[in-house]
Formats: sequence, C-alpha cells, structure tokens
Amino acid sequence: MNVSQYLKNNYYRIFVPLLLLIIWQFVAQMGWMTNLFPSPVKVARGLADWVFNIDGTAQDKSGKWVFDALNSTKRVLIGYFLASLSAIIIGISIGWSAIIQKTIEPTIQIFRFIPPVSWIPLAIIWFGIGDNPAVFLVFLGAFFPILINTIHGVRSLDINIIHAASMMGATTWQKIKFVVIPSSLPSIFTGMRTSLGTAWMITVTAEMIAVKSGLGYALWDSYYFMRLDLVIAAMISIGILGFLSDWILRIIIRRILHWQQDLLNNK
Amino acid sequence: MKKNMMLVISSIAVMCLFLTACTGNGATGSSNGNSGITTLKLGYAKCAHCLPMSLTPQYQDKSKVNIQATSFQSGNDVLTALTSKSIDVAQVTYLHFITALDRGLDIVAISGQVNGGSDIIASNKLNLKADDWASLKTLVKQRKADGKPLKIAASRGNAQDIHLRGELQLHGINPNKDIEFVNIANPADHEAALERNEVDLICTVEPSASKIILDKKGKHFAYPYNQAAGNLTNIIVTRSDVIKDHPEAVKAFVEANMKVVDKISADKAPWISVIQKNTGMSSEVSTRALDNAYPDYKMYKSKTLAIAKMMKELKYINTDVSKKVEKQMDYTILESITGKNASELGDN
Repeated sequence: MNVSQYLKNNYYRIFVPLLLLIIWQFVAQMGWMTNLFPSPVKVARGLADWVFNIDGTAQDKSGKWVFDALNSTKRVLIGYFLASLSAIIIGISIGWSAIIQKTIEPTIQIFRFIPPVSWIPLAIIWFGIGDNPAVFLVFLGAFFPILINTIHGVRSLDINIIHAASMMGATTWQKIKFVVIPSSLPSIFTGMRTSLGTAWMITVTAEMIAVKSGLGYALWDSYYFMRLDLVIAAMISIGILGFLSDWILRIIIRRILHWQQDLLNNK
Repeated sequence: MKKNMMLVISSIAVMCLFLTACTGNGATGSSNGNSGITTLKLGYAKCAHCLPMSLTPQYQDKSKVNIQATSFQSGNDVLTALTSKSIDVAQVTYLHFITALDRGLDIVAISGQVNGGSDIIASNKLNLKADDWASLKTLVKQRKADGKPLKIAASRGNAQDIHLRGELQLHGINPNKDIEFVNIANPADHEAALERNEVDLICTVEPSASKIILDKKGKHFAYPYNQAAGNLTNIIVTRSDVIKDHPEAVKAFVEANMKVVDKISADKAPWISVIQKNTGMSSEVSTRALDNAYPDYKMYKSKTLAIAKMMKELKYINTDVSKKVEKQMDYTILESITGKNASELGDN
C-alpha cells in the first residue's frame, strides 16, 4: 500500500488532529490567544530544533531530543519492569493465598491511594538525587494497576479448573504455572497497558528531581524560562513515545495471547 | 454516514470550545460596581522574600484601590498568570522579568521589593571557612585534576543560580568547566542533597538556607553579592494594558508596596510572622533568614542589564534584551510618589 492509498483509507484518523491544528494556528494568527501560548508552527519549529539542532533556538536543548527521549525511556522501562515483576508476583500471591491476602492486601490498598507526587520528599531521602528517585516514582505509578488487575485475574479463575488440576496430581507450583498464570494473563496485560500509560505520565513528575536529561526535565526546564513551545513539544514527545510503547506492548501481548485474538483486535 | 459526521462535528465543536476557554480570560483589573474602586489582583510566590507581598492589602488606600493577593507555588506560575491576564500585578525575580522580555511578553517593571536571600552553603565534610575563596579555588583545581569535579548545586533559572555563577567567575572558577553543576529545581530538596553528601556546595534561597545551617547540615560559606548582578532578587511587574486602563490604581498599589517596604525595613516582626504563617518555618529560622534580606523599592537598571547579559551568555535567553530593559523599566510611578528622579531610584 503506498502513502496516498494509506491516506485515502485512513483519512478519518488524521482528520480531527489536522483540523484542530488548523484551528489552533488560525486562532494564534488572529491574535485571539495570549501571546504566551505558542502557535503550532512555533511548537513545530522548537521541536525541530530540539531534534535536529537547526538554528539553536531551543538553546542548550538543541539537537538533544534523542538523548532526552532515551533517558526518559530508560527511566520508564526500568521503573515499569520492576513494577510489573513485583506486582505480578505479589498479585498472584495475594490472589492465591488467603493468608497473604489478609496480611498484605490492606496495607497495599492504603498505599494505592497516595499520589506518586507526594512521595517526592521520601524518594529523595531514600534514593538521593539523580535517576533513582525518578525510577522509584515511575515504579509507584505503574505498580498498583498491574497489582489490582493481577489479583482480579487470579480471583476470577474458575475454581473447578484448580480442582481438576489437583485431582490430576499437580503440585502447587504446577497449578500456578500451568493454570493460574495463563488464565490470569489477559487481566495482567490489561493492568500492564494501563500502567504503561501511568508510567509515562509520571515521567514528568519524576524528572522534576535533580536529573539533567529527559523529556520531563526538558518540560520543567523550559517552563522556568517560559519556553511554552518546548513545553508543548515535550508533551507531544511524551504522548508519541507513550503511544509507540503501547503499540509495541500490544504486539507482544498478541504474540503471547495468540488464542485470544478476538479480545485484542482493534484495541 | 450523516449521523457519524454530525457526531464528529459535535466533538470538534466541544474541543474548539475547550481551546477557546484555554485562551485567557481577558484583563482582570476591574471596577467595583458602586464604589468605582479598581480591584487589582496581585500574585506572589511563597519564598521568604516574596511573602511581604501578602501584607500589601493591609497598607492599601481603600479609596483608591482594592488589592487581592494570591500566593503561587513558584515565580513561573506567577508570571504565567500575569501574562495570561489572570492577575494584574506580580512579584517575580529579575530573571523572570528578563525571560519575559526575551519571549516578547508585554511586561513592565514598576517597583523593586526585596533583594538578597541567596546563600552559598558548604557541605560539612569540606571544612571550608566562610569566605575562604582561595581554599575553595584550590579544592576545585585539585578535584578537577583528580577527575572528580566538585559538585555545586543551585536551582537552574533562579536568582541564586545567577548569583552563584557570577560569584564563582569573579573568583576565577569557571562554573561551566571547573565544576560539576547539579540542578536541583526545588530548594526544599537542597538540604537532603547536602545531608547525603551528594553535593559539595549549594547556593540556595532563604529560608531554606537558614534551615540548612540551623539544622547543621551545612555551613555558611559566602553571600554571592559581589558579582555584577549584585543582590537583586525581586521586582514588581505588571502589563502595559493595566497601567493604561488603571493608572491611579497601579500608582496606589506601588504606594502600598512602598509602605510595606518601609515598614519591614524598620520592623521585621510582621515579616517574620508572615513567613511562619505561610511556610511553617520556626521563628529562629525566619529571623535568621531575614538577616539576609534587603527591602528596597528601587529598581537597579545597570545590575538588571548585567543579569540580562549573564542570561544571554548562559543561553537562558535567545536575544539581547538590553533595549527592552531600558524601555520596560518604568520609573515614572516611583518618581511621582517619591518626588525623586529616576537616577536616584536606580536608573543609572
């Protein structure tokens, strides 16, 4: 399929964003907005300089977009990976064992409602400055959606399947490995997709803390100097990277949950 | 198909309404119906030096102006609110003023407020004596040669950042080459960084500086006021449309601010009280913080130009704003109130 064919078949996907851009540019050119709020052209120019170092207007950020994007991605991926691993293990444990549920779940449920941003002072005290507190905040943001969905997935399991496995002589580990985990995967993946979005959202908060790079850092730093074009460019960048990472995750999920294609189509 | 198109159009209309709502809410200086007295909305940040602004309504001439003071988390928020016309008058730093001029924003400086508030604090492990710049310079050279440059922190883009960089250069230390600069945006995080020995030196703002010293997490090293920008910190700005539409109210506001400045110059008790009330800092910290504060309603143009020059060199701004500084520092209101000429009020 060539580009014109693709556009012909998918024009409705770009129609709304394109129209919004045109309206935004029009409103900006007519001077109907405060001149603090940049036009799309100005944002595009700022983003282009941030990516390609065209004319140095992005100041010390010129040409450093890839560096910033990679650093944010690194923090998101580490925090997300740690959150996924721990949330799945703890979630399965809580869902499987009544004792673990009674002892751990109430405490976790209390922590769930504390906003990640309020952890910043403790994150600095525990992890110092630099990447570690940022990773910790991403971890916090990503952990709970996966945990809740994992617990839900395990508890939704038909008890008769477990009984059947027991009757066939399966050990506890075999029941978890061959029955509980595969059955819970759709729910776990739902949590993982939700928390991937949260992880990217937290990046902006996380990079307020003494880091020298990243899209969130660039966003705050640009705001200190009233570069709202770069603020919006950073927002767009985070949105695009979040979308791309979700797209990759969906491909991985499709491969793993190949028996549930209907469930995943058009998501 | 027709139904779908209607849905799309309706959705776009909602989004357009949202965009329109985001475009600012027009000038806010307003006259109270019956009295005809103009209400001016004032914004200020929550630092020790900014908080006297909350006293301004107490000193207003109610027959001329009604001042409504609102606190914000940072100077950037105040500047954003002013330029988007949510407030009419703002207390910001000189750096915000220069940044706004560089961005081509409509902003006019009308009065000074309080200067100072920067303190360079050394980690306890350095064993540096106060003002011993020779030892610091030797240490910087030694650490650079060892491949472990001294870590010096500030909040990038704050007055303390400029004060620190200027002072280091003045003493022969290149802040871009000789040290490792660490940006810790929130001054509240400075104490933890020093305590954990993650930075060796930090230039922070009051009352954080006093708290660090009184908590014994670091030692006072120097006040960074000898460089070209001096001790300039805060300035009061408004927009040209506010001056044009409400000249008497703006003048009455400046008068109220001058009364506050005079009051806190003579007696710091109300200032200490307002810091305690708004920041929760102890009386000891608040009192110490104000030893490093210099209330002053004058606006110092040559030092402002020095700040603009430094910001250009540091690539904090893109353009040379010298001419804009000349044009947008309006001494006429201060002149009319004090009877002094502009040069006596800092225009030199």
